[in-house]
This record gives sequence, structure tokens and C-alpha cells, in this order.
Amino acid sequence: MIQEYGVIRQMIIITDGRSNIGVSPIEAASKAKEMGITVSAIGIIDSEGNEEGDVMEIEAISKAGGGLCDYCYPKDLGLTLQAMTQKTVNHTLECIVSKQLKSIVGQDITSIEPKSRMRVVEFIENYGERVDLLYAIVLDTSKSMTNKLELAKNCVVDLMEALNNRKGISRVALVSYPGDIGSTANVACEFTTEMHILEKGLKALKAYGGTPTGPAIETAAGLIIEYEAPAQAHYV
Amino acid sequence: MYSVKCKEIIGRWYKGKYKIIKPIGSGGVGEIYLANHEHRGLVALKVTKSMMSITKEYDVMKRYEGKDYIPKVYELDDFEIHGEIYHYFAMEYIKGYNLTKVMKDSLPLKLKIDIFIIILQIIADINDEGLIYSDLKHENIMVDERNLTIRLVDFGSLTQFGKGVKEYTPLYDRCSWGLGDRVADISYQTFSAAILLMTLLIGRKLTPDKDKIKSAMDILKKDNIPKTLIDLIEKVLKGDIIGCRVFLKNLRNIDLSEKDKVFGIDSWLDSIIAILVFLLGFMLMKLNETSFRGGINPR
Ligand SMILES: Nc1ncnc2c1ncn2[C@@H]1O[C@H](COP(=O)(O)OP(=O)(O)OP(=O)(O)O)[C@@H](O)[C@H]1O
Repeated sequence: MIQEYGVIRQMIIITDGRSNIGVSPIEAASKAKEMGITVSAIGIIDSEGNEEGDVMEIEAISKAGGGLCDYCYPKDLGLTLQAMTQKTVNHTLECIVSKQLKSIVGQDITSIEPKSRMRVVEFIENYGERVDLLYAIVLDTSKSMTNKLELAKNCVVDLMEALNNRKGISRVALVSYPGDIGSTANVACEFTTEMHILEKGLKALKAYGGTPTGPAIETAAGLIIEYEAPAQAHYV
Repeated sequence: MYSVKCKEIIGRWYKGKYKIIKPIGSGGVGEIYLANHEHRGLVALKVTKSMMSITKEYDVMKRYEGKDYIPKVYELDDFEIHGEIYHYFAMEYIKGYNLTKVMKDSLPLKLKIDIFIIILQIIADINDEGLIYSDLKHENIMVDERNLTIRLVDFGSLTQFGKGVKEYTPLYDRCSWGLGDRVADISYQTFSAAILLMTLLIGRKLTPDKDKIKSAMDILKKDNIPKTLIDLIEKVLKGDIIGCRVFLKNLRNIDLSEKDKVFGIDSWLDSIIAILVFLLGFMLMKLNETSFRGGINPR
């Protein structure tokens, strides 16, 4: 255990529709969860109104991926993305701490009396500020995103800025889907802490094609797992 | 949309028994319900699945319990429905309305300023504790009908000086206007207060990136707001005036009667009329409410 604080692995899907190509995103999310990655999702609500199936899919993905889900209008995407990020990090830590508590004292946080929870909460918060983060943003760039893509790019930049204010190191990667001609997903940017590298990756994105959400989740999961391999010695 | 569908909940730890009456609000963190407690009578329940945020909010509210602008809080507890655990705390139910109504009503300028001054004093008091109320907004400020006092709800956004701001609403957030960063400092707070005053005066909300500050100032000018007041707001927004107490002092020095003199109305009379109008509006609202509830047809 060289590093004092561990690393947590998260993936967030930003989409405005339902997957229509490749493996089921729910299966992909559940596999990612098995690999120790938390999968969350944000659904962008269209003014024309989304179908109920879209909403259900996002909920199912985040449930299978052990993460959270939320919906918002395009104008609120920035705020939702940041709030969601903070929430999922805390949520993941809450689960980890809960598990540890369970193994030490045989009970989880909710079996601590509410009066005494504040100490655990403070601990999680401090830890959350310091823990390192591998954060893959999985951005839907299918045709329906045409009008929202520029906005989404700005939100990703804002998020990176907010993450850089944390005490722990936050590495952000960007997976866009569909990928270049024929492929289902594209690694638009490998894990980085540098804003200009992320911005370069964002700049190249264009909206076209279908919505292979499942394959994109697989790509992002692979990216996260691969990134960790060389640094294995650092982790618990 | 609201998640608590059952009629009654019982706290897992402290066995508080609540009859749910109706949902009264929701936000980023949770949902608020009006409920009836077997002994305490009407209370507001804040319900959420997020253990961390509700525990933190409860903790600050309890810590500053004595302050009269904070709703009294009772217990923090859990309950279970359909195998899902929810967390909640019970607090004093504030019967009244939030500042959005005050903003939309065409009240006299003096009265709006008087209300704002009270809010500013509350915020200054919070700042004195080394905390920033980062999510200052109309929806989080309530007028308590029983004694016409100002009460704040939603203490989830209290942030220590110097930390990053995590809870905010773009309209009141200087970063969204491109006028600074998102750090909890005194100037962040004063900025949000100035936006609150501005929207209170023009009677509607604005969108940060669309209406740039300059066009917002133009709207103020069109609304016949005294120039000294506009200048003050502009100075605060630009960061030339920092701190709620300084803002307060400057605000008090402004002679609001200058415009009224043109119309020949004595300012004391104006204040009395203002209070009358306010009370009248308030009574009318009550009247509406009772006739609505009782289903009485006025005709
Ligand atoms: N004690 C109370 N009495 C009466 N009404 C209340 C009370 N507390 C909250 N409300 C109502 O419920 C609404 C939502 O509450 P609150 O802001 O606490 O929720 P939230 O989930 O923290 O929202 P957000 O963080 O998005 O502002 C308020 O705008 C107010 O109208």
C-alpha cells in the first residue's frame, strides 16, 4: 500500500436517447460493475419529449452499474454533471466504507444510529476530496445530439475545471460514440489531467450516426482497466 | 414523481410517527412533505436517499438551532418502504410563501428594500460564522405568514470560507456570469445577494449568459429604479463593494424617497401605504385559501 488514499473508478454516460446498436448497455454496465467500476448516467431531456423507454434504459444502466442517474434539460447539463459527479464519488465511497464497516464491526452505515453518523460522513467527505479519481466520460455524439454537442463540450470542460480543484488527482478520459467510420466507439481522449489535451479531444467531435451505448460502455471499461494495469503496484 | 406514496411513516430509530399530508416541494437533494406528528402536530419532513447530504444538513441546522431564521429541527431518522431505506429529518413547518411571490408582486420599492435588508442581515450573520450560503435564491427564502418574519430553508449549501462552491444556481453564481470563480468567499456571497436584490426589483429572473450584466443593468434603468441604487448594485456586482455588512450600510444610506418627492408623497405616508398594501395582499391570499379549501362560493 504505497498510496495513502486509493483510487476510485467511475464512468458517466451522457446521452439523449436509447441505444440501438450492439450489446445491451445494461449488460455492459453490469460487467463494468463487476470490474469495480461505477457506471452512472445523465439523460438529456428534449423539448420534443423523450420516450419512456429512454428514461427506463438510463435507470436500468445506472442500476446495473451501481451508480446514479438523473435527467435534465440541455441548459442544466453543466450543473447536473457536476452535482452528479460529486454525488457518485461520495456514493461509491459510502459503499466502500459501508463494506469495510461491515467487515470490521459487522454492520453498515445505516445500522449506525443517525445521531452518530456525522463522524462517518465527515470522514467520507474528507476522503472524497483526497482520493484519486479515474473518470471516463462517455458522450453520446449520435445525430440527435447535433444541437446539444457544443453545450455538452463546454460542460465537460467545466467539469474538468471543478475536478482539478480537488486535492486528489483526477484523471479524465473521453469516449465518444458512435466511433469513426464503422466502429462503435472512439477514445477521443486518453486519461489526462491536462485541460488542453481534453479540449483537443473535444474539439474533434462531431455529431452523426446511431447510438451504440453498450459497446461504448465496454470501450470505456477497457480503458479504465488498462490504465490501471501499469500502476498496479500503487493500489491496494 | 414524489417517492413517498404511503400514508404513514414510522422512524426506524426514534419511532416518530408521521401521517403524510402532501408533498410541498422538491429540489436537488430531496423532497419536502407536510406531515402530522402524533404529538407535535404539523411538521415538514425532508426525505432523501442521500445519507451524506441529509446528515450534513441536519448537523448544521442543529448546530445553529438558536437562530430564529432557521426552522426548528427535530430528529434525523430512517424509514423503509418496499425494501428501500430513506433518510429524513422533521422540522418546523413554515406556513407562508417563498420570495418568488414577493418578487412577482408589484410591491412598493421601499418595502422590497426593507425585506431585502432583513435578508442581508441574516446572510451577514451566517458569514460571521465563517460560512457562505452559496445557494442563496428566492426559493430558499420564505416569508413566515404567522409573524411576517423571514426564514431560510435548505441549509445543504453552507460552505466554509475558501472551499469550492458545490451547490449553486446559475442565476446567482458569479462564475456563470463570467465574473469570477466558484469559491466560497465573501465576494461570492455579496454577488449573489446583489443578484437577489436586482431580480427582486425588476420582478423577474434572468438567464446569466444571455442577459449579460450590462443588459441587466439596462433593465434596472428602464424600471425607474433610483440611480443611486442602480449604482450600488453595479458596484457590488463588479466586486467594488465586498461584504454583506458594507452592502447593508451603503443601502441604508440611499435616500429612496428622492423619486417619490417628485410626486409629492411624503415618505412616511408611503411606508404606511406600502405596509397596508402588503397586509392586504396577505389577507386576500388567506381569504382565497380558505374559500378554496372550504369550497365556499363567494357569489
Ligand atoms: N420547513 C419548511 N416549511 C415549509 N416549506 C418548506 C420547508 N422546507 C422546505 N420547504 C419548501 O420546499 C422547497 C424545497 O426545499 P429545499 O430547498 O430544502 O429542497 P432541496 O432538495 O434542498 O432543494 P435545492 O437544494 O435544490 O434547493 C422549498 O422551496 C420550500 O418551498
